[in-house]
Amino acid sequence: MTVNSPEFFLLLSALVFAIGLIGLIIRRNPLVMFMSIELMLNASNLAFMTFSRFTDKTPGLQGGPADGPVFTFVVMTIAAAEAVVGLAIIITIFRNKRTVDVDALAELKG
Amino acid sequence: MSEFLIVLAALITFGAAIGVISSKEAVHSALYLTVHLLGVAALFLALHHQFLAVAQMLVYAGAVMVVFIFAVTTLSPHEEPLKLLDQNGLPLVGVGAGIFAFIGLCWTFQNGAIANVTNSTDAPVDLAPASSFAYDLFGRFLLPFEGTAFLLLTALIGAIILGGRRQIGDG
Repeated sequence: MTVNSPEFFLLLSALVFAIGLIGLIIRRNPLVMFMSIELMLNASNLAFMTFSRFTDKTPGLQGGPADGPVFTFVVMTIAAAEAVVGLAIIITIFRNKRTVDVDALAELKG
Repeated sequence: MSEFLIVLAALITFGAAIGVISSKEAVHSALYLTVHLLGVAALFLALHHQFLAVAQMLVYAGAVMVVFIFAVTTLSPHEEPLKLLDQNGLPLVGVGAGIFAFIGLCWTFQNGAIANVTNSTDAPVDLAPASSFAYDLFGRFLLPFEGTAFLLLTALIGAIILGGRRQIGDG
């Protein structure tokens, strides 16, 4: 496996996605959980960019060289919006309950 | 970009991702995440797309991380104890899910995607000009682009409503 190959970037992407998933499950701080979600989004972005870079652009086929980057662009926008709204929600919860531990938020538990 | 730099960026990206989920303090996680995002920007550059590399640095490592660090410093600067191997084996579940996702992604890439990927590394690919990206973004993808504008507006209004003090009604 050479360095400048799709396998290299895709392996890194899968690794980072797995790390983000592990962090999302094992950490109890909602801020760190948010950062783990950002890791997963970035891993998908990396996969999009890799496919955009290494896929053969046949003129007759649907799709163009900017398809992957446009997806990455939209994911970045969604990540920014998600971070803003999510952190606002976390700050509101902290204002009301004085804690940010997700295990302490169990009012809905039957 | 030389292979040494690509490997270096990949190692930094990977190590910083490990650091995000293993730091005790949330501030350290945020700083590791910044390093990770800059590494991903370098990898975007290695994948011949400068525009998104710059956007990654400005939007992600700049703006989003400012929001993150603001929230981290506002809330609970105390250390979170890294609870390992307690709470019903939750870490084991997490690691298992991570390994499962990794294997599944590798399998999917190998069987579904790599087959359609040509190894065009030998071809002299110059950097993708930002103009072609702009033509596609404002041409075929104009509707999603306007959709992102609407999404950001919605997020802005939502953040104002969530963060604002209630003055009318319940006080």
